[in-house]
Amino acid sequence: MNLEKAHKLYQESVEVLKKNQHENGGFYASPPGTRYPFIYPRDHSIAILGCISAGLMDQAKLALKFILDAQKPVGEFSQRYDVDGNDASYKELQIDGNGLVLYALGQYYNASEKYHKDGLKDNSFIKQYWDTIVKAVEFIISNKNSEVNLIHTINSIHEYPAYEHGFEIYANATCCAGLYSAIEMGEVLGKDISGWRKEADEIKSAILKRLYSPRRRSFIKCIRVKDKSSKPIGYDSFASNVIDVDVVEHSPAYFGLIDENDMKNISTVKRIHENLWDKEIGGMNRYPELWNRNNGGYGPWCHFTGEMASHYIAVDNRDMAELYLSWLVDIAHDYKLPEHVSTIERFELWLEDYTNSKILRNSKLEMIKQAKEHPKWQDGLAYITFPLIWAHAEYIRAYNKYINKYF
Amino acid sequence: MIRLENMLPKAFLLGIVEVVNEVGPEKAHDWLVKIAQKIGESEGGGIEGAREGDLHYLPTSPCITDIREFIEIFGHPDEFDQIVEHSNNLKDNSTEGWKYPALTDILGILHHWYNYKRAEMMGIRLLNVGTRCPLNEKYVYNEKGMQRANMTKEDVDKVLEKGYYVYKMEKIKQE
Repeated sequence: MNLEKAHKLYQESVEVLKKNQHENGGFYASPPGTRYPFIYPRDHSIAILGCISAGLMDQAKLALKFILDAQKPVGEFSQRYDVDGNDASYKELQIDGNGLVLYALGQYYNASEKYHKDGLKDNSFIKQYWDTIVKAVEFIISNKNSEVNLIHTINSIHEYPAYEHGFEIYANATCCAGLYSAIEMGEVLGKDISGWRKEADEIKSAILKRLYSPRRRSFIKCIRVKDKSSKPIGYDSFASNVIDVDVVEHSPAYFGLIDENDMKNISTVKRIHENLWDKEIGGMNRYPELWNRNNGGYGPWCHFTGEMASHYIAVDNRDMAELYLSWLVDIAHDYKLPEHVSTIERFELWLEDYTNSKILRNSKLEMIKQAKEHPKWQDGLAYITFPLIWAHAEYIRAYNKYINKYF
Repeated sequence: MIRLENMLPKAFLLGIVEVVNEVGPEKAHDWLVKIAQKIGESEGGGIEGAREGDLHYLPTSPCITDIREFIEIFGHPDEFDQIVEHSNNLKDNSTEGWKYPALTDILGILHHWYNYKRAEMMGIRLLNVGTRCPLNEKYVYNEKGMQRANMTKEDVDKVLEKGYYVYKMEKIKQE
């Protein structure tokens, strides 16, 4: 791996984070003038984790204030917000946002000790937002199905209900990790949160049992169930499993519910790498091509590639870590990372599919224009949504882990 | 097709017909507005849909399948038209006619007052300057809304080509 370039990409990534935080605290998913000039709690939370990794604690705190203040009356964090913290959602529930915000807050809280001049954690901050934390937790628990002890969602990380409506692994891992973060903070403040621990333990146990396939030796994507209160769920009209490989089947380890070295995770990641490493252009795809919701063409995603790099660093597989990390270094253009990369051929195939099916939205036209105008188009590659802040946050995290482990 | 699992939207629409017959279109209208505002309040401040500068629009027409299926089964009830007519009368006769919806069908009342309430909670007044009817694609305007928004029909039509409910977002001044 070209270490000089890797370091330069790290420095630029830190700058990208700083430049794309609105003064009110929200991180744009992508800069104004590009595809996602809003604040999405999912992207925003990972940007906070990137800040924590880079030591940008003031920025992380400001970002947390922004999102905690934007909580809806029922305790939900919406799909997206404008820069003033007003709900600007246009999609149905994405409950992983609740888990992610709590998890990011917990990570900030734990890291605050390292940066505080007296070596103390930021107790006053979690105290200030305790009521918000309680509402966020209660909202998660209100979406737990009592028959299987899993959290129900409509959308999750891919915003793709056809494969995510039901008990989906990313949503469950984030919510469970978020609950454990809330428990930890509650204990520090001396709150009675014994009920929460029972709920979190039940969800964790259900993830490990119901969302793991021993014969496939892999976590699975989703138990499809239409209604969160279906009982018995076997009679729900959607009742089925999504057993295709999805990169987020790594999320129980990513969010610390199990160790990265846990055999369940090792074999899951093996399946992910075998099926989703892009054999033509490298990098990590998010799910199988045939799911065919490949806006801008099927291809590898930068933040998932960064996430996998972190896994291989954690299990001390340096060769694989460098394969993933160096792909990011090489694919960066002008030290900036896109959401994902595709080939022109795949891009045109997607465009044909969506045009013929009449499912190409007007809002995609700008994305198409920007991909074709990007300098990399001349090299035969479609760079979709450039730059994406999440990709840089994930690179920061992976790079720091790599440097800390091997240098 | 009605099954136990999906009967609620049809039951609600049929309920609207019954309410009009019981208490008249005026009270039925107010009842729907109250429901929409109450749901809006529980959801909190926000605006759902797409934005272009200070314009906002809904690219799709929510719940259209429910109302289409209802009409296929029960026909188009006169009671719905009575409520729409009453809302239009309120718009035409009020000095604040700009705050009423450019109404094409019964569901517009729920959409509008839900959106209006949520926007108000975040300090924005939503002027529903025009609507494209999801049932017959006809354009309907709120002239008072357009005047206040300083928009022409041509301006509104441009947005209606890509959306169903078009709003101008106006900041509410603190008094």
